[in-house]
Amino acid sequence: MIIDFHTHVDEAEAFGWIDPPEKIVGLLDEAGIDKAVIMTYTDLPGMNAGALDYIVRAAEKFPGRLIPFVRLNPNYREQMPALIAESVARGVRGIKLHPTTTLAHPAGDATLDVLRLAGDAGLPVLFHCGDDPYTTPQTLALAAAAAPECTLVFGHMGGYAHVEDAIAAAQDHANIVLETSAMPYPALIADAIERVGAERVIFGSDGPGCNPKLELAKIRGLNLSTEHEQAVLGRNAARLLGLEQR
Amino acid sequence: MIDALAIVGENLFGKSLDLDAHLARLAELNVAGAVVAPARARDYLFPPANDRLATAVSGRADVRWLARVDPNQGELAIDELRRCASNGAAGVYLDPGEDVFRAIDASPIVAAAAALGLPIVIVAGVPLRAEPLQFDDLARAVPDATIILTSGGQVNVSGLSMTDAWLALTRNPRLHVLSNGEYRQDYLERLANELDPRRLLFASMAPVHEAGFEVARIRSAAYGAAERALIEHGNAARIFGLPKLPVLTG
Repeated sequence: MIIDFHTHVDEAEAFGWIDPPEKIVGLLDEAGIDKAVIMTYTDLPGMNAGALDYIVRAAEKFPGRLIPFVRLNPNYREQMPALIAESVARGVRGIKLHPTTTLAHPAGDATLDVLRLAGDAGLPVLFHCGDDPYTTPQTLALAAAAAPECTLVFGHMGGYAHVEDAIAAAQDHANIVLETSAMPYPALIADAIERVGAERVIFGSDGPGCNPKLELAKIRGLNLSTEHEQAVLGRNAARLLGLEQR
Repeated sequence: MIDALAIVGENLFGKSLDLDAHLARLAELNVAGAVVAPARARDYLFPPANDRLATAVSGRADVRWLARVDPNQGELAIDELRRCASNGAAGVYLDPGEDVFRAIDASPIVAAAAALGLPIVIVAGVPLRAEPLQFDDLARAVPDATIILTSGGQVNVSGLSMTDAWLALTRNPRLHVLSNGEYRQDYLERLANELDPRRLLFASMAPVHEAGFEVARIRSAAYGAAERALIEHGNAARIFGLPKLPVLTG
């Protein structure tokens, strides 16, 4: 089973981002991907009060195929416990945090509250992890250290110039998982598997802006062992999402 | 297909790429032509690196080379560019990251290249020095120059720089971009389908990026046949003076 751990579904007219669930499902079909984690582009609450409704309904359109994550703004601190509880009750399986859009420092108290609530609920947290302030592996590693009970997935595993740093952070903190989307250096994925183990590297595409078929080819082109490829492409995601492996 | 940029030779700053090994890899990928520029070698000197590259590619109709100069050297850099132009260079290659200059500081060398009728390939997405709107300034300062930016004109995995890159491209019709390392397929497609397919060129920028994955990146993008022909080889052939060629033999 192949699971794409990072895709987007949203209809954010203010930004011109119109990506309904049918769009990513078409790309998943083309790539031969069985399931995908979906999340909005906009953060809840704040920019998009209807984000939770939207993402849950998008997943319900394709039951068993699309797995909803709620994208949160931790700065709305008092609302986080109820929002996370409601999200879990409605079938959400994880949280997305993008500090570039929320301006919530990953190791600040507001974000750490969310990480601890996520840890208690057994929800993985997918962070945008790139080259900008508030998103670098070094900054996110502070959060990983402060909330060891929570699994932090480093989306893009450091972007362009911070990939080595992301691998080093994962070596230092057992609760960090590296997610492969968009990062343009295939050889460094193999390096990450060598250094932190295949069980902590996970396939994602960041579709539909990035083509899932190309992102999948990035993994398959590494010529990993069957055991490692299966772990990266599906088994690790199934474990984090609490899904039974087919 | 033509690979519009690779950085070859001994490299002070990272992985070194041997020219013959690069051409052999391109042949495996059915890429038939190449444009190459010298890395900064351990001796730190560009003139001998330019000469080594000129010698290595001489007699090859399927490979063109770019002179590399350091704009911080002022008139010396312009003299070196002129010397290389007389020795067959097909353009000039500038790296604001490795050689530490702001995009606008390259104006004199860019103007000199334009006067010689040569294109300028510049590394883009260098924080503080070479962000998209800094290239907008450069392009407006030297409007008759053909400037080709690496990596879609920006490097930013949160996608925010693409807005500025798009703005710079729409304001400056002689700005072009290479496809290397550009993670967003929709951006690569929009460049050709909504802006101008004559302003996007396939490039690997090996060894910074891996040639096989970069070829897969551009081949998987959704283009019409005419647009694809321009992006994969027509634009590079026109800009760098490469003929339409059979597959490289390495």
